[in-house]
Amino acid sequence: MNKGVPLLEAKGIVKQYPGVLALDKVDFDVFSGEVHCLAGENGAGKSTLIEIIGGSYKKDEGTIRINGTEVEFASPKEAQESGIAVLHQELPVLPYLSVAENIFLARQPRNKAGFVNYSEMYRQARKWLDIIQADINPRSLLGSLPMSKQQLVSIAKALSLDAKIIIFDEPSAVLTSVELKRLFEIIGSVKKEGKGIVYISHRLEEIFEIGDRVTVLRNGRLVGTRPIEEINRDTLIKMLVGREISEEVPTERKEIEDKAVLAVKGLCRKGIFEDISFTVNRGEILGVYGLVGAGRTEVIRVIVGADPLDEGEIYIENRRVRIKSPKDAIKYGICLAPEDRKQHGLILGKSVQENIVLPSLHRFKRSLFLDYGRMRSYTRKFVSSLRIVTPTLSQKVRFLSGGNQQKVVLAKWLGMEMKVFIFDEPTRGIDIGAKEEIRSLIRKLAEEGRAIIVISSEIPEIMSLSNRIVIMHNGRITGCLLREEATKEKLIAYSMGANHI
Amino acid sequence: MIKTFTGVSLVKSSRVSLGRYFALLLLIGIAAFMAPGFLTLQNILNLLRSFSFLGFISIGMTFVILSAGLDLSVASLLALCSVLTALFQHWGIYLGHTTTLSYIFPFPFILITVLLIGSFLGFLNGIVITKLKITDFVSTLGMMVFARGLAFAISGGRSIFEVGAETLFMGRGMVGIIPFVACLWVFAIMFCTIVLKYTAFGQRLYVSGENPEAARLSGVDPHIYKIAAYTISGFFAALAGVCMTGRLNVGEPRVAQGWELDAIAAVVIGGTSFAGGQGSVVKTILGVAIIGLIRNILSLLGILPSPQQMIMGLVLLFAVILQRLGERNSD
Repeated sequence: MNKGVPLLEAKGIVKQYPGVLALDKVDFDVFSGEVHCLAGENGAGKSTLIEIIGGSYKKDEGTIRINGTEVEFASPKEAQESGIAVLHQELPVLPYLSVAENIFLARQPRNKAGFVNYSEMYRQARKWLDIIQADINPRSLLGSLPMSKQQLVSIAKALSLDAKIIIFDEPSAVLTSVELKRLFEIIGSVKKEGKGIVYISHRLEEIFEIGDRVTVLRNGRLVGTRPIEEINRDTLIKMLVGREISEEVPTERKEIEDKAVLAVKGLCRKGIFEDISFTVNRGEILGVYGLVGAGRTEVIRVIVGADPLDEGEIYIENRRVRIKSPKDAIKYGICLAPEDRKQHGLILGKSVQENIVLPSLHRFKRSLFLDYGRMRSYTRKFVSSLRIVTPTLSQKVRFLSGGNQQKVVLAKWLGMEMKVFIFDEPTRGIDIGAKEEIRSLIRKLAEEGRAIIVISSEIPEIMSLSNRIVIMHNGRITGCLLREEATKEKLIAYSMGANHI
Repeated sequence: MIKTFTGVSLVKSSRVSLGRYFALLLLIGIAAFMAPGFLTLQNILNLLRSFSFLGFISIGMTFVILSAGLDLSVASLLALCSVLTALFQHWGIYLGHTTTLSYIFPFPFILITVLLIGSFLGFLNGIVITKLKITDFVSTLGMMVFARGLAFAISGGRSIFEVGAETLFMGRGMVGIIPFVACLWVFAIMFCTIVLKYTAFGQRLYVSGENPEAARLSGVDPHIYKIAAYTISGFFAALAGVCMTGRLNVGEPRVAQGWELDAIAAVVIGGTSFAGGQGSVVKTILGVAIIGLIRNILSLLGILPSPQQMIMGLVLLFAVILQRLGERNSD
């Protein structure tokens, strides 16, 4: 396989962000006629590498060679002209233009008068679509097609651009299994024509199905590149996870009362997740792990009434409840500290006090008016007990640090006797000192007998917080582990779709 | 020490709003220079009365803009309510006699009915925007055309002359030396300020306007507050319509054309953010005064209505640009 000059050769790529080394001397190459898979956890540097190869980001060091000649891309357009096509997960399409217009965007065939020659454009579009055997009318509006067909259109576009290297960025995230099978056939035939394919995926089975070689990145560093025949599932997982022992602090497990506070059965939102069932007991912290796009946030948004539920049942203390809005959820004692703190958790232009009293405003009514004195003392109580650092209670939360903002979100619910606290990425974007503080607040809530759900993408965090861990993959629960059984390897394997280890 | 500290931050954060006060002072100065009688108590009270009509609909507009909306229908609702007020006192118009009053219902009943109709049409605006998810611009534009058309249809396109003594009092009456309508306006401002600041309703309205999704996740239904804001806007349009009818002694379908833009301008020039959630009714007074004074001065200068309109457009644009710059600085 590895013979001759590679189509694409990236050597010693370094990319530095303030405080983070996103890529540390990474080598990557693609030969004609092969599918080279790129794998790694969230944040391993896969996307950064692809964006550099695709010309969207600038590298700090290293060289990129196409067919042996060194190139320097200043824009995605230049990369495109050198024969690199990146098919992003969210395809940049113009939904109100036809398929043909999307394929020939900004390079439509012209007639002599300089107008767009539509019949020629449709003819050529037909030709490229036929090559990949896509049953798509070049005249239909792109936006009217399902995601999978849009993906096919962008493959046709890549071919029409005479791309030598086609990069697929996690196509399986948006495709059904039938569509994926179809995509694999197309990739196979494109490969035979001598193109080089880069395939990024979270899913082990896909890598083994279509890959010729696989490169694994971890924390911005190259772990290794192997021909697919030389490795098996276990060695690949080991490469992905690394040898480092997970830094969990297994505190002695205290007895969890076997008393379900929240139970969900068979939750389903069509096309997003299905058959989600779990329970959370009094005083228990349930961790939910999964890769980005596994559907974790979507599940809890349904539980707190932010999105509608298609099927399934929710029980609070063994009583079936119907939650139609966040208001209902709050009534039943379920609250959420959302992932996007700034957009969903807080009103940034309002003060610490206004934010903290927001969900409980009705409690501060004295006849028709609000009792400002009581609101102030209520706020002050939480500002001091949670050690929220703010000059005054009337400081706008916009000006607080991430950690303090998260504490304000928490303070909103503390005075309301909530039974279930749901945290979605509670420590994301918070500096290390404050992270530990937030975690210990979560532990304290559990000790007080609340039921807690924590979604986190950080394995050490989820291992150190949770009593039990549920792992999601592609909208389904693939595993449920007690903390004693959980290892980093198992979490990653389940999160990549392995259903037994 | 603390004093200088807060002093500095105050000046910094409100340089733009200080600019508004300077603009107002400047306008007063210009007017006083051009018309020697300008600063007499009598004239100031007259001005206050003339501001009140725009003032009412601007209060309603403040609620709507605080909820991150926009209401283009207020001026048409005002005209419709003006026609209704007169018509309810002139049922005889359909019997052929046009100038005699022909009450079927007593005035308080008419007043309440007109206010309810205005509120209901505002409520409809809110329902269409929140439940049918039509953008506020389009749905209130529809209401604007509909209400104006209805006003013309039920009046046959004619002005309905002469209204009853109570209606006249609403528009022309005096409480001591102060015009009744000005009293009503000031009362409305105080009432609304208290509602916005000291009730749970007001707090939730602000929050829903600034960040509806965060409000929803905190158990506040932003739709309710948006609908309420449009209903309040409709109410104030109706109130302005009744007072206007009294002031003109005519139920007039052509009244207040283009006032929706003046009301929006007043709110924005006053410093209430178009993005929703930031601002107050008190700020709107300033905007109403600035708009009213500019109109007053332009009329004193003998400038015709169309160039006046042009200048108002520039003023609005300028105010919005200033606000943008102010927001950028404070970030």
